[in-house]
Amino acid sequence: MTLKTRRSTAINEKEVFPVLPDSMHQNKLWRNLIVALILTFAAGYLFSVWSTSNKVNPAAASFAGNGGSCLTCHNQTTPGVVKQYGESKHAANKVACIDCHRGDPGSKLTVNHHDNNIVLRPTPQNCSRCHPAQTTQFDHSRHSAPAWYAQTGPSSFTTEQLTRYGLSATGTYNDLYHMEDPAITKMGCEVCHNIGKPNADGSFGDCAKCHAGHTFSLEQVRKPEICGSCHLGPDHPMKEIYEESIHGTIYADKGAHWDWNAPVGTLSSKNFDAPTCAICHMASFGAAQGTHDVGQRLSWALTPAQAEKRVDWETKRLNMQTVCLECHSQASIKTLYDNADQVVLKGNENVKTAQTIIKNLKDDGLIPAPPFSSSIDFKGFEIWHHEGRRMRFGAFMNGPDYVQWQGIYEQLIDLTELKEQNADLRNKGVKATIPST
Amino acid sequence: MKSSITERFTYQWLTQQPLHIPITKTRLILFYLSLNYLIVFVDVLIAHALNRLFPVYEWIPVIFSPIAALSAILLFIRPKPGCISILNLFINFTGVVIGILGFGFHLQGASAGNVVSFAGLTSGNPVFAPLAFVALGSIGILTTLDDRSNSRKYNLTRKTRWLLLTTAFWFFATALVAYFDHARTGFTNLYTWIPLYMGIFAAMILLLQAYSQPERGLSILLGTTMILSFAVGLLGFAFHLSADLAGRGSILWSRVFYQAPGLAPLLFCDLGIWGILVFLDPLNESPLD
Repeated sequence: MTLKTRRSTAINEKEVFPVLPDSMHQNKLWRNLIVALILTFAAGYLFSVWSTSNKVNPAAASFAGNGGSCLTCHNQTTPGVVKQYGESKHAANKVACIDCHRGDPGSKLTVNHHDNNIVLRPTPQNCSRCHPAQTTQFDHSRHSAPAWYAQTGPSSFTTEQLTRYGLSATGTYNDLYHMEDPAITKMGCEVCHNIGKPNADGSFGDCAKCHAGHTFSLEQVRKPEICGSCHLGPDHPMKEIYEESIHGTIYADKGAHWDWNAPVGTLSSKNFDAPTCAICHMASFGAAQGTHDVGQRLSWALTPAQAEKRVDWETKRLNMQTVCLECHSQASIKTLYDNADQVVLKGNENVKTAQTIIKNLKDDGLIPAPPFSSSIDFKGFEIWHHEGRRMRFGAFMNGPDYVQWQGIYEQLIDLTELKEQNADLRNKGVKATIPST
Repeated sequence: MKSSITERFTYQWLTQQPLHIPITKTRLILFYLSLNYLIVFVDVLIAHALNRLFPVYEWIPVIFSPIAALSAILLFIRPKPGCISILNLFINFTGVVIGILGFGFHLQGASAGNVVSFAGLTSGNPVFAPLAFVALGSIGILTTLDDRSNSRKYNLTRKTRWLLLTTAFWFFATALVAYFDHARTGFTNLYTWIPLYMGIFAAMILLLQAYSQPERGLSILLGTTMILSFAVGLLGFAFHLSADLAGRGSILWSRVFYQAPGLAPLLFCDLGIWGILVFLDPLNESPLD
């Protein structure tokens, strides 16, 4: 566009455009400017108050970047999921639905969803696209394939997978798991053990077992409740032991004021007066490095019938003690570990005694050979699987009631009864028959 | 269309002399309107293509925009009363309706169930963005208004005053888009407040100008504000590109539109130009060409 001036219209201009004194011009300029500034800053202040009152922070409240199409349907069909996601750190960081649910073409997990290749339930392989270190650590942990192996044994693993995860090819499957009906186990054992389930893409596990829902909340995984959803009950009452412990008591008392969403790497005794499950076993805390391998700080494998020290247990014990040192002296930590080691060894002796009695009874034909075919089998199982483990966990987690009354006391009762039954059976000398079910 | 050859505009402060632009203001606006519809076409196409244009009504603005651009350019070429003018009026009215419907769809998409929360408004759906169609449609409709001298108020033609008000509305809507887009970051960077303040301030200046006699000081104020808006748009564009591409190790171009929307800050540039254009007020009326 070209511009050119035309002086000839200057006279006409005065006819339609009143000439005002300079002072009036300035008054109008300042009037408009001041009014505009006042209204702008007033509106800006109101918007500032609005956003502050809604406490929007970088780690919350956004559906950002997921595009409208997922929400268009899902805020009607699954509004709860949309709400959780909207409040998540993922959303705040503009991780879209498809970023997690993207399926590789041809993968067994991939389904077509409105012309998108998606996976309905993302696996660790999906998560590893953004969290490779965490998924690798998880893959090395007992939460991965070993958790599934604990119920199925080697039957659901290939030789290659057994080698990769260091699992025994000769191990037997869990007798209870196979004795109970699948209709039961899928709503029982598997609900927790599928934290290590095999996936069609070759990966094992389910990150969403802990990072539940669509909130991916740091607070959720740092609080003990999510761990307690599986680690509770008669066989591994970590939740109850924690609640009994001084750590759990402090959590109950002061936890509401802790900075649960503090950035990773900033947690220490300064912002957490006591540890939670995640802090002891996983979190970066003080000088301790964070890990998603929940075995990295455990010196004992406490779950087998005969508890045994883990490979490289000294290093793993030091890892845990680094966390303890945030609040406790070296001497008190050593005392606790020495005492707890003794509890484990004593419990091992009792379990071994019980299992020897039962083995001999079976060998002598005084009770049926198949597993869980007599009440003595169940008693022997509880001496290890329930009472034996309770006292071990109680010892390391500062739960005296679980060492004493829920642990060794119950174990001694059962062991005494077992010995009496053993004597009784041997006195009678009657060969066993397998009871019909 | 009675808008006529203009010989003297309110931007005499640029030259201290009357300006002659060899094109009517209405045609100038029609030309820029068609450009805007094309830009919006590209913007909406990219945004909705990321959703694979699902649901099917996401096609509506994509199909409508080029039609509206064509209509505006036809009227630009042949600015006479008649079929084209009536068609242009109808199409731009449709644009207003589409903008309102789009606002509704985006609002619904950003809500969880039936609840529209603050968190929902900070969603990836830019809830207020479809109001651009309301603004563009309104401008298109306003081009049909007469610029008769007897329609003057505050020595501004009725068309100019309504265009100023429409552009003020658009600035305000854009400020809201920026506000909710940046609210998701918690405004941790203070400079993310700038577009909100810029948008509201520009809206106020345009609004107040619609009720003020045009004169040199106010022209300078309005022109400066629009230039400032243009600069904010350019800076925002740079910031958004940086926010999208920094620290990821690789460039995913979809991110440019997926995350901090790359084109969005350029709306402040666009609006800066609109503000200047709509204030081109023919002080001397001439007969129809």
